[in-house]
Amino acid sequence: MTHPDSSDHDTDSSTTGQTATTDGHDGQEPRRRADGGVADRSGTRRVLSEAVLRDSLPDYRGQVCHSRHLPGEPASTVPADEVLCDSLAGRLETELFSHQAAALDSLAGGENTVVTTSTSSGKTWVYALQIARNYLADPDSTALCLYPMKALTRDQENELNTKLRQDWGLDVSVGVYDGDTDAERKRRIRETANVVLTNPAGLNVYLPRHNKDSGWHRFYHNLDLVVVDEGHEYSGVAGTHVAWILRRLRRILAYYDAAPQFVLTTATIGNPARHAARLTGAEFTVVDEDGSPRGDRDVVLWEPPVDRSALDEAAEDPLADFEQARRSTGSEAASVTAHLALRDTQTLQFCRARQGTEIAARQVVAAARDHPEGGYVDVEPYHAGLGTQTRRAVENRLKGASVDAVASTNALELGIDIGSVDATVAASYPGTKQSFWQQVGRAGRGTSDALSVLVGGQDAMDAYILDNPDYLFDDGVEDAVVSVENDRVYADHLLAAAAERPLSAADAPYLGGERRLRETTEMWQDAGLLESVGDLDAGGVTYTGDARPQARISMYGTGGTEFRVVCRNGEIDHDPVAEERAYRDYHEGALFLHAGQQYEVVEVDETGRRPTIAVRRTQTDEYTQTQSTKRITDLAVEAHRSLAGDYDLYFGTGTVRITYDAYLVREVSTGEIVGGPHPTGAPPLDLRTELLWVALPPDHLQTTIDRLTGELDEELLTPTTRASTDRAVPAAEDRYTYGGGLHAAEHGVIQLAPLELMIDNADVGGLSTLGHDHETVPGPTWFVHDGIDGGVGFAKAIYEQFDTLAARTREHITDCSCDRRRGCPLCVMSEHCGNNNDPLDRAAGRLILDDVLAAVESAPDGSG
Amino acid sequence: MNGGAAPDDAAGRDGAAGAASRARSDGTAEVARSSRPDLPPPGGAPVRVFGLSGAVVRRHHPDTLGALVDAADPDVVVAAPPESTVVSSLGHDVDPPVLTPGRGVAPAVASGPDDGVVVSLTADDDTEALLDATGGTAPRCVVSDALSLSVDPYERSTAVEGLADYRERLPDPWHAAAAHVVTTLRAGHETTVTGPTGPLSLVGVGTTTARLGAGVDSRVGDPTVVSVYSNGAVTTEPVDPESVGLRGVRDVGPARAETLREGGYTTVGDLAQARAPDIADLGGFGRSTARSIRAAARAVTDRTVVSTGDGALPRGDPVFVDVETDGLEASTAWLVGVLDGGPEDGRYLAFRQRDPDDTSHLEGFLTWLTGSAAGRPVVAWNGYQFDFPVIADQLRQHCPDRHQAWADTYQFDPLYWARDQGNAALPGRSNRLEAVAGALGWEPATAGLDGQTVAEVYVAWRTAVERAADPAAVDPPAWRRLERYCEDDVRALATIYDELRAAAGRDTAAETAQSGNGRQGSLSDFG
Repeated sequence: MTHPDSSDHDTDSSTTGQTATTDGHDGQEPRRRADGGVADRSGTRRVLSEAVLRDSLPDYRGQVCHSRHLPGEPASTVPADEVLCDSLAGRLETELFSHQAAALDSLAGGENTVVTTSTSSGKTWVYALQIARNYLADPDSTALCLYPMKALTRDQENELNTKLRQDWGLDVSVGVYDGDTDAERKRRIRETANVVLTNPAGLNVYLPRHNKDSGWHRFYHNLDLVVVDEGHEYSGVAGTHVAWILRRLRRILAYYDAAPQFVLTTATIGNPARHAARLTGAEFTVVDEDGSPRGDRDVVLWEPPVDRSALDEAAEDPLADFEQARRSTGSEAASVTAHLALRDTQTLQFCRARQGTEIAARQVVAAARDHPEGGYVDVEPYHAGLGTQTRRAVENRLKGASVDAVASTNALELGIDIGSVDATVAASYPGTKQSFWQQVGRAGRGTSDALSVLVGGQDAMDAYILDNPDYLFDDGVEDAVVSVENDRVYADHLLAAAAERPLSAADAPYLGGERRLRETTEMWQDAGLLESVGDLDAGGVTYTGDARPQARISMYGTGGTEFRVVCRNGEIDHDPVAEERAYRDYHEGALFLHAGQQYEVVEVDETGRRPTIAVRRTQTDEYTQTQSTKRITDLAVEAHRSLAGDYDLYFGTGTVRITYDAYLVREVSTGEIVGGPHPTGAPPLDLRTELLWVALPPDHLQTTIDRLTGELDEELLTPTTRASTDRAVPAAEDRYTYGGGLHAAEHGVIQLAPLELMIDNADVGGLSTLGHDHETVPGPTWFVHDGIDGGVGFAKAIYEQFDTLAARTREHITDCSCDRRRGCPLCVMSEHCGNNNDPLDRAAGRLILDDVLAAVESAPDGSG
Repeated sequence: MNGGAAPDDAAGRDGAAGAASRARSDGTAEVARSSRPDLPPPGGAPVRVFGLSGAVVRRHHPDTLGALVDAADPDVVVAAPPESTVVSSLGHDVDPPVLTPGRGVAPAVASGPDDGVVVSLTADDDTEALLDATGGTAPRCVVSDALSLSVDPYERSTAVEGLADYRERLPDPWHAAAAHVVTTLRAGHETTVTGPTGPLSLVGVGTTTARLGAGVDSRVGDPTVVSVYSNGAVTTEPVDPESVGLRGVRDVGPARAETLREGGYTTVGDLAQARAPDIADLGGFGRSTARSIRAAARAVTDRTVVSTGDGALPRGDPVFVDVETDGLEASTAWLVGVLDGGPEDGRYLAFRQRDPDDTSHLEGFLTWLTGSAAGRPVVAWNGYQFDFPVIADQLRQHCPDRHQAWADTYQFDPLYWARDQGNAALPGRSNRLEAVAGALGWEPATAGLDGQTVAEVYVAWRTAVERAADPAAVDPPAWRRLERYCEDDVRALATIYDELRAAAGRDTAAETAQSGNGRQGSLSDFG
């Protein structure tokens, strides 16, 4: 369900510092290295000191822009018998961390509980103990545990078996029930298991069996606990689906008179109570005081140097110009990793950029060879696309410390047991703080010391973080974003619910509320998919569509066309692609990277029952970038904030028509355009979606240009040759320059949104325009919209966080060290821009944001 | 017109039931909630209209299509999208006329039994003169592509578009009295729309461009037969192209059908005549597969059951059971029909609910089963997939103390035994109960009913009772007719069971074959 490369987990009990003593130290010996030496703990800090680097790194040019020492903390624990009954406490050999104790107390009080603490803080203990407690009270008691990925489900099965059966001696039966479980085992699990482990996509298709099978009947009837592990994983489209699957589950449970408690665990997020409530529809108590111990840790931020002399302000293609001037993140990260590995510091390098892990591994070897203390380092690549055996081998070599460095995708953020490494290197910011700290946590788990390096990547988020390191270290964390507002997704789940059991008015609390339930039921009755003679208030409404609607609900889209991906010259294991992404990223001729391998799209077939994207493996030094035109119509206001003066902020729905009409081919190493624009052949795409827009005063263009050319003494920008051929770009210099300002503000807000919100900004789009015919727009405006049909709550969340995001954007646009009017990829350029980042103007953009923020601060309702 | 009593009546009930038609602000009529379906007049012969899409024609071999039309046995074939123009290529290969709505310069007319009339509308002709000339009390049917469905989840509304123009084009007597068969609505979709000239009863036989989300599986247009009766009642029945011709023979998929055709076997009859080793020589068939395919073909051509395995039927006199529910995802079993004895002379018992909350009929059934019928095997067609779990679920909910007694009975599903365990080849063109029993010579006593209609009649009654201030005042459905329908099914079941027993008794040594293809039971078999 969730992409295997985009998650995290904490499972390995062996390294989860469950302490036997109250001093918080797990008493681990320093790890033996393969060469018989002992890693020099205090030394890890010193290997990246300025002095060492200046002496030993051939190209050192002051890339270390920030370093921070984080002191360790001892554990805070509670004796088990203060929380648990004697018969259970007596089975534990250790005390509980304070957050575990708090969560168990909350559960004992009948509360649904969300536990949001750091990686490897022992969250599994909470629900394992609750299962044990329930079992001791009633041996028929059952529990359902949901995990975002199959691999983790197996890990957790082992973990629960070890704890419940082996360590605590309870005869609790635990079983994984998913697509890989054979029929006979499935039958046994249904009939006898106390604990069923599966994933939400599985539950979606198993739920309808509830009344066909005595095993499921037993299981649901006795259900006391539902565990949603790694709840922060469920956001965006997948989150919306999971939210409805959980509501369908709760509705069926109500029919069985089962009212289980929910435990939701998440990485540290900013809105745990709200997220848990949105995901499940129930209310939660939050446990967020982490009682687990931490070792000393150093975090270093590393900024790849830019050769400013090579920058050309008048470059026709600014993106390429900049990429040529900047050392690539990948090769910088490789140098750092090589440097660490040569100094006996086992290192895990996380890669995110276009370059695959194989390339990264080779770069590390090469960098080690070129290092003045030159030598050989043993480096392995690791990613989800490797076979299981290969992955196990690398995991074991990490555990056994028999490899110097591993270059990995974020697959190793997960709770896969690799022991601990001495250092991590992130080749670009992984997108969220939660993910960043998850990666960092891979070094020196438990109480041992550790070193982590972040090598800045080439976009606005990374640049912002290198400029504002406090952002990484302050207490705030992103909000998880999940929405249940998407009516198309809701309508599909309503059909599924009806197929599970006829709909009735009593379902309203679970199924969207009274009005939504009635109206959508009526819609489907009229369409012939629900029995037209049925009545929600009498007897119920039965499903009459084609059998098994659940099987046609995809977790990856909102119910539009969905493409499967097939490879013409080899294998590819790729999630289905929703229409919205297909048109943009998978048109014919598109190049993309998947599990470390590059592919080219050779054919898109939208006809027939199963629309298909055919690709072939390829290996080029190129990537493609899609250009688009966009039109926004049918605006309907749902929320409005009147700011001071003639400034207004709106949220609502509308139709976004995007035509991805052409694409460019660029060279990876230089960014240079080597082909295109080629036509994509993709038809226009209409999204009925959610958006926010900022309405500016009618004379704002003039007042801004006056200030720009007057008191600021800046010149107007000259339209590029490309812009003169684009009808959407104004030709007059003043309009072109102001348009560049709006465009910069729009890009900035979208690109920095992940600072506050756990959203994928590839699924957020924008449009800035000097005028729009809607009544709420008297002058210039910019829109930010969900890139997914029906919306998934991203624009809504940005609307709610607008003040903070606009302020961060202004700060960043102002401070970017690029010093270019037209900006750079580190401030206002976006690789997703359909307009080839033209026009862009930081100077005008800053004035626009200044005015908007001033209007926010002096807003009449005092909301600033 | 045919007195118009039934449709007017239907409209009246509509209002009385409170499902008033809704008019949108723009004046176009929305789909109205229909009430209890009309039952066909006993003994009346319907006009049979067969909707077939070009996409289906393109995907299947001409032999299969010929067998498909034979199986549907229509008076008229209607060309439906997608690719409706492809269907006309069938023209000279099939007997019934092929009508393509929306094409041609004048409306086409075809006739059916009892002077029934089918009129196909062109794009924009004047139909008044033609239709005025056609009268009487015969079944009548208008076929068109002039209406479409649109579903908007954001507005939460469904609308039929094109109604105003459509009404304009038809003379008044053709509004309420006719069935309106539409190729641009989903096959099997039945709905009634209200408007200024009374209700229109619409039936889909094609595909819709409306986005129906998870509710539909296929966008090729499932071939569907619509039967239109003289009182305006309509029933629909899908005909699966994979259940006719060579494809209708068990274990023959598209690849094997192609191999067989290339080898010169183009009909089921050819296969039944073939020697198993010759089939095996074509490649792609093991010897045992070849034997079982031949046996299956013989079952079809000889209209008999052919034994293909050595599994035993249960000892003892079976009790034949069939439940009627409120739909495929059953939340009630309001009628448990039981046959005690053989297909002709067996005694039929109907354990039926008296009001929507009544569950005493379940108690009654269990009392009889564990008393008078103690120890006898309980037999239901597709029972493992439907009847048995439904009964178990109902007992758990309403008579928990009876649940164990039910679980202790010997439950037997002859469809599973024959098809999934490979013990017998069945003769029907599908594995639906009626199709198999019909091929064995069984004839129903009630016509024009199916499980879906029966469920709808029940639900309409339940809804009316639960909404009514005085439940006793609600007109009951024709219970006796519904019970008779269920009786038909258990007698059909007994017919099949007798044949299974007879086939097992015959010498099977030469035909014994292993099968066990493990296919799952079809959920379309219910009722």
